[in-house]
Formats: sequence, structure tokens, C-alpha cells
Amino acid sequence: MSANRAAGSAVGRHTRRDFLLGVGLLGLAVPAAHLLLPRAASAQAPPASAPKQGGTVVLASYQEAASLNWILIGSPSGLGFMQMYPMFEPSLRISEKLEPEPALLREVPTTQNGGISADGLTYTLRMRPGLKWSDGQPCTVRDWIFTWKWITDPANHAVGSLGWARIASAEAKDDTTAVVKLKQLYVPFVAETLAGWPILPEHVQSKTTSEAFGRKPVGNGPFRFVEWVSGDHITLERNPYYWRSPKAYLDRLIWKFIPDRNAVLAQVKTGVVDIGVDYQEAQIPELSNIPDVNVLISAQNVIERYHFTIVTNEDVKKPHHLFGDARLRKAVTLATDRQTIVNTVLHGKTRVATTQLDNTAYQNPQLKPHPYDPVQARRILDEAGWRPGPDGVRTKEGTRFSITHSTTAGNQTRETIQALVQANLKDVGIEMKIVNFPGPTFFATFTENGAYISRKYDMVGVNGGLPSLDPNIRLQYHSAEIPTREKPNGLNLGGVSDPELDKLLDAQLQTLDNAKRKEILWKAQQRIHDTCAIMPMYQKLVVNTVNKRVRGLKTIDFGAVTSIVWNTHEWWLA
Amino acid sequence: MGDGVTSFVARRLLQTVPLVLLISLFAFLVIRIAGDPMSMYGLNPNMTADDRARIITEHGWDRPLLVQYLYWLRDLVKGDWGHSLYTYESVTAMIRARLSNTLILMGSVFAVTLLVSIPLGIYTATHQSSRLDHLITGSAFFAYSLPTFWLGLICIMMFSVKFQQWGFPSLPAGGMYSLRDGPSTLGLLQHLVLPCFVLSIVSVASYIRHLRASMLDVLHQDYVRTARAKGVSDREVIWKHAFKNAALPLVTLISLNIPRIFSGALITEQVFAWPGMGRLFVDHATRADYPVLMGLVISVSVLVAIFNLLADVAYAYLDPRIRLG
Repeated sequence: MSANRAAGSAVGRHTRRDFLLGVGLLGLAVPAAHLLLPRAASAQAPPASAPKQGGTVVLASYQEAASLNWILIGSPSGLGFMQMYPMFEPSLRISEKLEPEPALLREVPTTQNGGISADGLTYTLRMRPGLKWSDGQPCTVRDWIFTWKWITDPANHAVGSLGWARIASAEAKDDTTAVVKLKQLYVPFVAETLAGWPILPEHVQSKTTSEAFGRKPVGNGPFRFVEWVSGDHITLERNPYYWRSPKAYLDRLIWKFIPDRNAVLAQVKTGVVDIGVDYQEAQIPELSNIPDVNVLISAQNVIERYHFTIVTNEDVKKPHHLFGDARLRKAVTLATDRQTIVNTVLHGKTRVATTQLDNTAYQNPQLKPHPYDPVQARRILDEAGWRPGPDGVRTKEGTRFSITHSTTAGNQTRETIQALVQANLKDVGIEMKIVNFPGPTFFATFTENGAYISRKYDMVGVNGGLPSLDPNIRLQYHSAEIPTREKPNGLNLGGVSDPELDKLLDAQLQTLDNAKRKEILWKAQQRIHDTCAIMPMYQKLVVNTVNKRVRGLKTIDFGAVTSIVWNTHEWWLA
Repeated sequence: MGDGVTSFVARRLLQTVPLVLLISLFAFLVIRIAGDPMSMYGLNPNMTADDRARIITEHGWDRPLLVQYLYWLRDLVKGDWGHSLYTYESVTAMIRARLSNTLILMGSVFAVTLLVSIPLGIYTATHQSSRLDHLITGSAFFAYSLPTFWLGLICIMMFSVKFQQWGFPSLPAGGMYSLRDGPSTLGLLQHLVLPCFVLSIVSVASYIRHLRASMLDVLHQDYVRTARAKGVSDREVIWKHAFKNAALPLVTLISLNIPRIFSGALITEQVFAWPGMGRLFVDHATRADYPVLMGLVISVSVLVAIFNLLADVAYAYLDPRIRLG
């Protein structure tokens, strides 16, 4: 027998022992599998009508917050702010009508109620009495004043100081009243320091660094911090000291970090994750097919847009050889079929954008996007002296109308749209070369020749909303805000340089009269629209999914992803 | 051989220091040139020009690159691996937190790979050209070409989503344990099945092919034929004589792959939301967060150097013909 074995081949020679072994293993496999594999999901319970206490809601985020200290987060419409928000109540909440409403402060300061002095230099903040932080300590107006001092001290590394830096002095009259004096009139003050903005607890933050506080925050929102397992999840629990009554219904909220968007979808489908946030527009058809899940779509203020480089990289006084001329910008705008892009790439789920104030209370309703009119585009180019060359690309005095376009690499939606725009422009005789970069290179600073800011490319594609509820578009369109080597941090990316526009943008910052401000901003939008200072592409939709068992959830049309956690204290589980 | 080994090891360890330094310099330059840490602040409209200028001088990013490297090196030598530019945690704390998660996943993959590939590799070699051999090597060929990203998503779709829809018991779609129920060993095992499967499939395929080739080579050697002629049992011929020699190339393969146990699997950890070292790298590479990336580069290069050294020593043990140094 050993000689047979030694021949090396055992094909077809299974002994009885092998057979019994196999059957035994199979027999063990079944109970082992039963033990290892979880039970299949059971049927949903019938819906209830009154809010019930208890339960845990799991939300998925594809990006983990850098810190839970909101002063280190910076962007109020990003995923980091969203994760922090249920823990920190803002001084004023942004209402469904997109206006400030009382929260920590018991009234919104206005010129009518004396909260704002007639000259706009003195603000009186009136806080609710009896507020507490989540550790039981009292929350007073002194915490607001402390927040101002903390943010404006560079040693504390606050990422942005915006409205807070305008304060000259702040004094607490008592626990609930503070008198704040500004250095000069600053109309966006309420929007930049109160509406949607929280405060810091003096008794905790003063004893530690901003960074350490961000890992173990103490807040005053409907939920309080329990634990943060880096890379995996953040757990929050109901805050028993929250000022509203009733307090939050849910026991816990958990932020789960799932970096792959497809994996998020899988966990939403299996019900492990109740709420998924910030999907791409192109995923809407697929999301609508998931049973037991509601798709919430909101058109907000975030606009995808293309900036024209209007002045050169080296010299802001020297106009760009092509786009310094408003006619050529108009020709490119008319030649781009944005409606087809919205219909095909975005499945018709959003609208072509008109201005940067779309979907805000200050939008100019008389403006409509420039139409798609390649015939008119060609006529403009002809009249400007750009004639088609032998290869179809227009030339003038030996120069070809060839431009470079840059946006972030790896974003499928953006790259598809770029290809469509390239084809549109080719159709009217303009050559567009695509040069994309991954995030860190694209967003590098002016001195490091980051694509989005350095004006090294003729057109740049970005998106973004307003930094606060305030419609202060001066930041993006005033000639004083053009980034240069000496002053590399302006947000007027393309270098819009229009004295008439500058005047309007300065004027809108000088009046506290909202109606008057709206009037001026309408004129400013008209001017930007007429001169084609930018090419607005489409309104970015905020797309979230919510499992049907989560009730009471409401969102507002502001704050991008943050809008999903607008009223966590009212959520309950069926 | 004792003295020879000691001096060899000592020499190699000394060589490791300048090697790791060179690697760190190269990595630093590449990471800094390829990405600007200020890009994290992107289009943040809440930052004024002064804010940005302050951040740049605070971190010393206005100094020349080589000077920045030297500052980093000085801190490293003092034991300060720095803090993440993004989360502000200490780099050592971050690595320590993620390392155990990666060890669990990659350790399981390693164990499964060896447990499955060694018997199968030996079987296909000893039963060469049988139907089962063709089936196994064919499947190995196919499995080896599967992209882990795609395979991971397909597994999630099938065993997590579809199985649940069809009413079968299903596997979790990601993470390390169920957040609602809290950590448990059973939960961990359930969550380990799919990512471990996805990663093992590719390495099992590769190990089977290697082992089969070297076993075949050894099985046809004279000394194997002699052992058989002497009447040595099949089992002893395969394991004591053939496998021990065929294992040498396997030791090379294993030693090259062991650093992966520490560095994690970049793609699979993304797909399965496994909070390990691979995720740490990807999350921070996209932000040009160079303190974290440099910490990872240093730890992994040191581990690679050490395990290469161990592999060479193991070689000398397994094969007396090999002389060290």
C-alpha cells in the first residue's frame, strides 16, 4: 500500500476515513455558520404617532471631523461642523425662513428692540437665564465674552476670526446681559458671531488647549459627548441639562465614519446606518430605489461655478489677454450648454445657477441664467476679431484661442462636466485644455501656485457657499480682495476688477437697513451677471437619506450638510 | 555560526540607521513637494489673510524645505514624533490606537493565508496534473487578478445587502463591531469575515502558486527519490524533506509581506471602514498631513529593515549551506 501511495497520485482514491472526515466537518460547519452569521433582519414595527423616548440613531459620515472644537473647524458647512453641532447650541438658531431666531439668546438683537444701536456700533446681547453646560455648570453671557477673547488670541489657533475680530470691547452687565462695542460699523456682525454660531465654556476651555478641548468637548446642545474612537465613531448621549423642554427624545446619536461612498450605501441599505449624508447628485436615482429610506433633497446656496482669470498672475493691473475682455467671457458663457449638463450629468435634479446669492433671501429674482446660444457666441467672437483658423481654432494676430481649465482631480461629476464644456467650446472654435490636480495641490496657496488661487490657469472650477447667513459677497468680487504675492489670501479668485461693482459692494456694507441692502445687492448681482464676471454652473444639491423609522427630522435650506442636524432634539424612533 | 550571526546582525542594524534616514529625507521631500498643508484650509471664507499668514509662520512653512526636514528630524530624535496638522493628536498616539486594529485584521489574514495555502500548495504539487490541481491553480490565477476594491464591494453587495434582502443571515458591511450593541468578540469575528476573506484570497492565490512551484522543483530532486526508495513514509518525505527545502522561497515571500501586517491594507480598510493604519495613511495623505505620514514611513521602514534581517537569519538556519555576511 505504501508503494501505491509513493507513486504520488491519489486521484479517485478516497478512503472511508476521508469520507467520514468530510461529513463530520460539514456537520460542524452548519452550527458554526449559524453562530457566526447574524440573524436576518426582522420586519418593521407599525408606525407610532406620538414621540417615544429612547433609542439610538446612527449617522454615517465619509469624513471624520478634524476636531470637535468649532473654532478649529473653520467651515460652517462642512462635515466637521455637522458632527459637532448636536453638542453645541448656537446663540441664535437659523430658522426655517432663513432668519435668526432666539436660542441661547432670548431675543435677536435688532435696531427696533434696541439690541443694535442706531449707529450700529453697540450691540446688547440678552441671554436666557438658567442655562447650563452639559456638566451642570451655569452658562452665562460671560462665556460669550470669553469666547471672543479666546478666538481672537492667536495662541489659541482659531482657524478664522471674521466677525469676532471687529469687537472693540465687551462687558457683562449681569449674568444674562452683555454690551458689545465694535470698532466700526460692521453689518455682518450678527450673522458672523451669533446666527448659527456656538460659544465655548469658560470653566473648561480656559484650563486647556483648543486642540485638547476638541478631543473631549463640553457643550450645551441637545446631546453631549461620550467617546471618540479615532477613525471609527463618535458617540453622543442625551444632555440632561439642555435648555429646551422636552429634552432630546433619543438616548444616543452615533457618528460612524465610512470613507467609501459605496460602503455607506450598503450600510444604509442594510439599515445599520439610519442617516447617510452628502451624496452626489448622480446617486439620486439609486437612492430613490432603496426601500424604507426617505431621500431628502435641498437646493441651497452652494453654487458650482467656473471663474474666469480676469487679471494676470503677476500684475493685478494687467488684464488677462483673453478674459480681461468681457465680450469673450460672454461668448464662452453663451457657448456653454449648462441646461444639458444639468439634465444629463445631474439627472435634471437641480437648476442652472444664476448668481452666488441663489436660494438666499437676497437673490435677485429678475435675473435668469444666460441662454445657450452658440450662434450669438460665434458672432461675438467674429466681431472681436477672432477668426477660425485652419484647425478650427480661432486666431487673432497669430494667437490661438486656447485656454486651460483646472479643477479637482478624481471627482467624476466635475470631470464629466469639463468634457462636455470642452466639446461645447470646440464647437465655437475655442480650444480648452484640461489640467486637473488632486485636492492638496489644487488648494495650495498663492505662493505655492495652487491652481485655484494663483491665476495660472485661464478658468478654474470650484464650488462654495457663503461663510455665514450674511450675503457679503464683497469677499469674492471686490478688487481689494484679489490674492497677490504680497497679500496672498484674498477670495476674489479670478481677479474681478470693476470700479462700479466695487462701489456697490462697499455700499451694501454700510447700511443696517435690510431692505436697502437688498436693493444694493440686487444691483451688484445684475452687474456681475451683465459682465459675466464668473460663469455659474449649477446649484449644488444637498442630498441626504433618512431611514423611515427616524421621525420628527426637519431640515432647513442652509448650511449644506449641517442642515441635517438642525433639530436633533426633536428626533424620535418609531 | 554563533559569532558570525551576532556580527552580521550588528552590522545590519547599524546599516539600518543611515538607510532609514535616507528614506525619511526622500519621503519628506516628496510629501512636501506633492502637497501643500495649507490646502486643508482650501476655500474657507472664514479665514482672513492674517489668519493664514499666522498659520504659515507658526508651522515654519516659510522656511526652506531642507531646514524644515532638519527641524522634524531634531524633534524625532528627541522622541517627539509631532502632531497631526489635521486632528492635532500626537502621531504616536494615533499610530498606537490604529496599530492593534490593523494587527487584528492583517494577523488574521496572515494566519488564514498560511493555513489555507500551505496544504493546498503541497497538495497541488504532490497531485500534479490531477483535476483538483487544475481547478486549484486555475482558481488561484483568477483570484490573483481580482482587484481588492471591486471584490470588497461585490462581497458587501452580495453577503451584506442581498443576503439580507433575500432573508438569509447576512454579514456586516463594515466597521469593527456593531455600534448599537457595543464591542464583543463575536461581533468582531462577524465583522472580520468579509475583509479577511477579500485580503486572503489574493495572498492565498499567490502563496499557492509559489509553494507549488518550489515543491515541484524539490520533489524531483535525487534525495527525495532516495528517501522514497529507502521506504520513508509519504508524510515524512513531503513534510520533513521536501517541504522544509521548498519553504525557503516561502520564507522570502513571508518576510517581504510581514510589514504589511503593520502597515495595513489601504484599499480594503477604506471599503470596509476598518479603522487601521492603511486608513490612517489615506485620510492624512489627501491632506498633505506630513507629520502623520512621516511617522508611518519611519515605523514601516524600520519594520521592513528588521524583518528583512530576520528573514536572512532564518534562511541561514533553514539552509546550512547559506553563509551569513
